[in-house]
Amino acid sequence: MTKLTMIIDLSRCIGCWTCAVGCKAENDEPIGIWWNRILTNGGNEMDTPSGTYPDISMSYMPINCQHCDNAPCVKVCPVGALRKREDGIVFLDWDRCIGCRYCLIACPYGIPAFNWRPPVQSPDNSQFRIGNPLVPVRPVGVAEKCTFCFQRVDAGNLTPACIEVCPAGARFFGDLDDPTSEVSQILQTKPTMRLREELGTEPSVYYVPPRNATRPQEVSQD
Amino acid sequence: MKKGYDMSAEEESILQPLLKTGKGFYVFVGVLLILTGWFLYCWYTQLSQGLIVTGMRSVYNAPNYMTYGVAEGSPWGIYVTTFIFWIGISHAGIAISASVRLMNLKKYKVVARMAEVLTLVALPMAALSIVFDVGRPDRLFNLLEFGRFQAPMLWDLSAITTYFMGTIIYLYLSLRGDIDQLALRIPRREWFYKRLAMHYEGTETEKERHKQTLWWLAVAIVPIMVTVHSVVSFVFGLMIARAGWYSTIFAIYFVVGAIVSGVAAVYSLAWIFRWLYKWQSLITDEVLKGITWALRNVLIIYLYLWIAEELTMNYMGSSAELRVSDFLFSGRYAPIFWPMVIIGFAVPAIILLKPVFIKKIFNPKLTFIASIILNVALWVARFTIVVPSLLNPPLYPTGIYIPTITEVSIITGTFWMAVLLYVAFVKLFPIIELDVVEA
Repeated sequence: MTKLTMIIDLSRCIGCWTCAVGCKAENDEPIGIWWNRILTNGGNEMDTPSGTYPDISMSYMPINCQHCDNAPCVKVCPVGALRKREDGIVFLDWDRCIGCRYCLIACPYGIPAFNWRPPVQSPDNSQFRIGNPLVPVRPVGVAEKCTFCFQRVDAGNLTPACIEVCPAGARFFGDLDDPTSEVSQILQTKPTMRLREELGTEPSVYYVPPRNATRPQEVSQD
Repeated sequence: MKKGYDMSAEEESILQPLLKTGKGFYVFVGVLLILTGWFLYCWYTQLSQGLIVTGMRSVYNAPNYMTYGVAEGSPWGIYVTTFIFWIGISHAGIAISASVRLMNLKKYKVVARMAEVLTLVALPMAALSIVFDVGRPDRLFNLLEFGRFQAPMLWDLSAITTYFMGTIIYLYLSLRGDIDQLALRIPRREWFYKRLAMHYEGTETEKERHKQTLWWLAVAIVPIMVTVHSVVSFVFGLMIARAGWYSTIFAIYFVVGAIVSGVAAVYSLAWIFRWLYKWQSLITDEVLKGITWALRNVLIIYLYLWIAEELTMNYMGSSAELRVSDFLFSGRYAPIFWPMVIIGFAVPAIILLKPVFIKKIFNPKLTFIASIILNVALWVARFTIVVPSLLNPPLYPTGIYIPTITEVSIITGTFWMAVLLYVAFVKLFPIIELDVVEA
């Protein structure tokens, strides 16, 4: 058995959005859709420090699909377009999705995004596709979300695009059931937390808390 | 028209919509058809361009300067609100009719069929609202092919389909005798009614059999009716991800809300028919008073549940729930919320409660206005349940949802179509059961 797991080390994250851009390029995400987002702890705007001067700190919260073991989106999908794969990936079948957007409603992390219009890529990919050719093209009117780069995993490459491009080495990916893997090692040696664990969703994405900062808070209201 | 058959004055009064058609009718239907045409055009726009023409947006769309005009928003909007609204309207129909039959309330038999037809018209509109809402209406049959019974949406689908089929059978059986009678009374449409009556003989055994079947159908339909709105509430009430929804009270809250809007709609209809066709002797003040009594009581229960729900969200509240509550009470949605509370709930409650304290003041017209206000307010109430929770997702900043003209046109389109269907029914079949006269 494999249990694919991602660890994001917030003490290393520099909030550069490279993972988001790499993901966008790999998976051909249209304008307006980001499978990977980097929130800033401290405010709604990018790069807002938290705390009051001079006691301020800067930390980030990259969020992608948490690939929950007890995934609310899989539970509510009326047509079974969202499925939990054997290896732990929550996969969205774009050919089956009817576009009811119930997964957008049910997801505690606000992950799935919806193709409100026929997808437009930038740069324009009508002549040639920039993304990975193994990723299916999503039509208008379906939801889409992070797949843990299933096309790479299926090809035996355990490096999703966001892991590959991260300049700070803040992201780790691997099989949790393998005790020698990097993720298993980190989980044993470092303190980790998961997002909104109290909901019982059992996410597969772990976070190493940032230095000099309290545990990542929900984005505060202005 | 008379061709050997003499109708009593009362029968002629009941059948006047079928016998006479004035100029006003054509103007009315013409206007409705134009509005429906506009709706069809807007729907076509949505089908060809995608749901981008609505005001709905994904939960998260990256910081605004990177999104090229796509802002954060609510994934569900007035389509789902209107879906709940139509389900609510559909509620009273069979509820009233079935309780008339089960509790033998002969007095209210005059409004029974109006209520049944209301259900029949409202349910397809509810289903249509969902068809507007989904991004791929062409794939709706996936629900039958791959449907998963763990998903609340499939509960909705099955409950509503069952309810709709039950209603059709119920209405047809209660109508069959009348259709047979109509063949005699309106010879120019004899072929139509004769075929529709399907060899109804009108013997005593046949009548008795119809009566029995209807009674049992009524017994079966009442629990289905409760189920339908409960599962609609489960779509929201089971979602732990959203602040303000995860609540045990939701099923009851929705069912009672539905009964309020349904009974109010039946009152409005009864009043309109009474005024339009001068049916004061048929739909008497006593009947209207009885419906008002029911409306008043369910409204009190509804307001009680509503206060309990709002208080729970506001009093201690997890920070997320308090955020939604503040959004309503003092935030961006306060200009919708407070008018709903004051004009939408308080004013009708006062109008309906007044006759309790001051004897012999029952004003049918004022109560009619109250019933209309109540339905509008309940639509807004559903809106304030659905959208604020979606606009305040935990982890993310507050979003914006402004329905577009296309969206509003499509939604009002369901209303025009409902009126058209209702008018068509009134023109073809008696809206009051013919044997009311005999009794």
